[in-house]
Amino acid sequence: MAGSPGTGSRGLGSFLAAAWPVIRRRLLLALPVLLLVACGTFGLLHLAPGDAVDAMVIAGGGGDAALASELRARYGLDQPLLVQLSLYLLRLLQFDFGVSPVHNRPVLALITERLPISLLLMLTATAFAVSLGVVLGVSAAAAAGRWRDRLILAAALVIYAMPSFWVGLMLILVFAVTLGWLPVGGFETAASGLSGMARVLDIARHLILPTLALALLFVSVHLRLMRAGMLDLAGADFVRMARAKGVPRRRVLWAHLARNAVLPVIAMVGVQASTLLGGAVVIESVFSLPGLGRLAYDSVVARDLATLMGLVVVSAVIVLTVTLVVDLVMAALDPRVRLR
Amino acid sequence: MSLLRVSNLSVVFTGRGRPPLVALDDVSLTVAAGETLALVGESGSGKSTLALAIAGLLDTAASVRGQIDVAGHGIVGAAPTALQHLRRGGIAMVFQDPMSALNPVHRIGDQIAETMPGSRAERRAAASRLLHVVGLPDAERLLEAWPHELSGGMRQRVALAIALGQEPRLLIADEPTTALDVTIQAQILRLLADLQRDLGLTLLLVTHDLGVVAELADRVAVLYAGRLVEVAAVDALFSTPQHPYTQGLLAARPPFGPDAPMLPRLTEIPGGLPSLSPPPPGCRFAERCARVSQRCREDMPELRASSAGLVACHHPGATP
Amino acid sequence: MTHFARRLRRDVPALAGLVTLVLVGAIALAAPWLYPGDPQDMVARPLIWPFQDAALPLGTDRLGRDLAAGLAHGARVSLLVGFAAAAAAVLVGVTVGCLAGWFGGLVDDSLMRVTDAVQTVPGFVLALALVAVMGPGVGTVILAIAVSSWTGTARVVRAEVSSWRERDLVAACRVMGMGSGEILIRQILPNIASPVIVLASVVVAVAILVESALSFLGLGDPALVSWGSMIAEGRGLLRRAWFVAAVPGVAIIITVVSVSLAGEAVTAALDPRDRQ
Repeated sequence: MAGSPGTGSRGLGSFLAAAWPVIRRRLLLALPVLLLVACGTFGLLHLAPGDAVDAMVIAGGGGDAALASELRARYGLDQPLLVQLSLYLLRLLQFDFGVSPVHNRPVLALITERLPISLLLMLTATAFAVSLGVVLGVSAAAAAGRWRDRLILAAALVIYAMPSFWVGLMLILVFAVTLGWLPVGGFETAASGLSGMARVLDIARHLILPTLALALLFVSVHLRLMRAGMLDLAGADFVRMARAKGVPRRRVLWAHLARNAVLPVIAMVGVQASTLLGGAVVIESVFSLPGLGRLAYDSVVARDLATLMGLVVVSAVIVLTVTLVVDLVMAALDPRVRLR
Repeated sequence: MSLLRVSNLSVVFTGRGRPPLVALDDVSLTVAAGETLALVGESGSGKSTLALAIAGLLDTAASVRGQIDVAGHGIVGAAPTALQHLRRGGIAMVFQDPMSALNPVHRIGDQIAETMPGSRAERRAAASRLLHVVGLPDAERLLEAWPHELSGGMRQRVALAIALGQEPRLLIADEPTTALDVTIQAQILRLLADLQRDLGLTLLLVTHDLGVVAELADRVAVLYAGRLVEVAAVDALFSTPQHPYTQGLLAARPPFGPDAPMLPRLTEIPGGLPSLSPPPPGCRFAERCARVSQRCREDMPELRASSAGLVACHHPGATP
Repeated sequence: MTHFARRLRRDVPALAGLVTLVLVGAIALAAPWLYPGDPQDMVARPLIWPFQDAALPLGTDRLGRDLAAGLAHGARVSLLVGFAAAAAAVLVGVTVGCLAGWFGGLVDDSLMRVTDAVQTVPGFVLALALVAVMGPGVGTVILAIAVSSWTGTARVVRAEVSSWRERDLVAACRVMGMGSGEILIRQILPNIASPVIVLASVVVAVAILVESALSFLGLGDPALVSWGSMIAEGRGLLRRAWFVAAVPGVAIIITVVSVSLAGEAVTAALDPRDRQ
């Protein structure tokens, strides 16, 4: 390793090549995880009283026993459990999550329609949570032990304790109901006929409050990590070195200290990917955003198990993808990660 | 003409809920331009604190009294912008642990060039030249390298290149070889000596290694528990040490050379550093000293001229 | 215990957290006596604002139900679910962690892959799926939360146990003829109690929050008042009577903050480094 310095030439291609071990490791870990998740959803489907055919037949409004057994044979539901499991896994491999008896449409289509909204919300909330956490963490560390630090830490404690859906309601109360600045909910103004930049701005306005509510779920953790990292590194020689060579104070704080202290915060984004998606589910129902959360909620209420299990599998795929992306971001930000 | 003048410097660390710690007490010394002064003492003696104070790098938990002048500029109480000014063409510093002295997420070239003036290309060329100066060939590749890709010795050379990039008159080296392998230590010391001679640097070398002192220093200042106990030219100090602590340090050194016995008898100084919060009233070495008298316990000895240099002892002189 | 008390007296926030938590617990236990009868019953005219009527200090909701009574009874659900789910999660987590850390090899690999899988599915989505399969109810909620929150404990315990396994203490115990189970339970577990308790307090806090979210969505126990369902009641009243949604939220915040502070207090008290 020490024998080949200067391997880190610039450019996306060489970066991906250098980060390949990280990617491969993550993909290898993902395979057993996905298999287990699929087995889990299969088990849950079998635990549930009644099967997919019952649901379909009931949804069809009749109790035709002959039709039911014909359907069972078609879907392999009369086979032994292990055969059914393999059939189920085979179908999953082809992204076939079955048909929702409630919507009477393929589950995959239901999910892909709503996926972009959830992903957008997760992205904006993560960006905001990390930025706010970094700024507050740096600000607290710079005043360590003084009143500003204590105030930020106390705020972190309270923010951590706030249920995100309640924060959402209170934000609606203040900014939508009382002040009337922002919309109460929804993804965009219905039938507004907006397009281009105007539509983007309209969507942005709708996303401000949900983003805030979801981001607050993570700000406490990020700011505490950032603060601890800053304090840990404050005495490091490279920080002294930077000061010794005349780097201005603010640049020492941000380009040297914060630049290193932010790495655990980014890593935490990966660790919390599944909490993020779970949080998005709740926030979407508060703000009537037509994303995966809304779909999940409707499916629970309608006992649409096919859609729910599809959602569980897709959630796992999303979380694994987010962790991979975070790994790549880490590799881009921390050269030491690449060769590990 | 002295380049560095420290007068009556005291540094006290105050922390929440802890008694104040007197790290340096009334330290005065001067270093002439082009001279190499070694600052010697065991860990906890305050030598690193003195180095950081001179470099203007002590953090805000330290309260500093006294004066430090580098090339006519005051360091104590100087505004950040004034200190900033001294970082170019004034003071530079290299640190003990080359593993942690470089920022792990910045490229070597960027770290060397960070505070240099000039265009991007000029700075890059200057950084590349500096890598040659500190004995690192293949500069073009190294400029793009990350710190973790380099060995300890290479990193210390890079740290030196960064320091030299400031075109300093005073270079402070805080235990620059302690963390390195023995073979690498010798290389780095030779490099330091060459640079000092070729560039006419004034070198303040902080170390606990008397071998390093003998090799590089013109003069030696011995620090014990926050106070200077002896200052002398290197030959005088090694041949006729005046302070009992200096004598103890020299006796604790393993003998080296053709006549050295295979299994030398090492004498150690019994006891440890006294508590410095607050320090004892008399001589700080009193509790460990064979020559201690009642006077030593009550009356703090000041630095006075001795046969070899300066010594702070009521009973100075050769080992009885 | 005296050491613990001495430490607490110096740490005001931790003490405040512990006292508040005990107070919330007392209210929860005493709810049937403080507010006898069904908190779902109408007791006064609807939408009385807080601090207007001394008998109804927190006001009434859309159906004239006493909000204070709702809070007291809701505390029972929140604390029951919080502590029961955390206890189950910690039990599973410690067991899985011990097995994986102690036996290593294939046992470790397979248990850790299961842990990965559970951690990969968002806890809330998993809870929704379980509620859909099993139907709503306190038991379902506790199970759903426990199933998704044992993984952190399992990882920490695994790491601790596998590091202890290599130490001299364990070799000494083996020489003395102790079996695996005895060494694990009598020698190693007491040594890793501290990090487990920290995690447990976090799990309790998260469990209370998740329970409130589930019941806010109407997926909790339909027969019981809970803070989350009270907030859901207030959701449609934001314009006219925002306090109906705000008040139970404050109750959740106070409870979760005091759980966190109490967790820190217990951690500090157990920290051997600080013990004289």
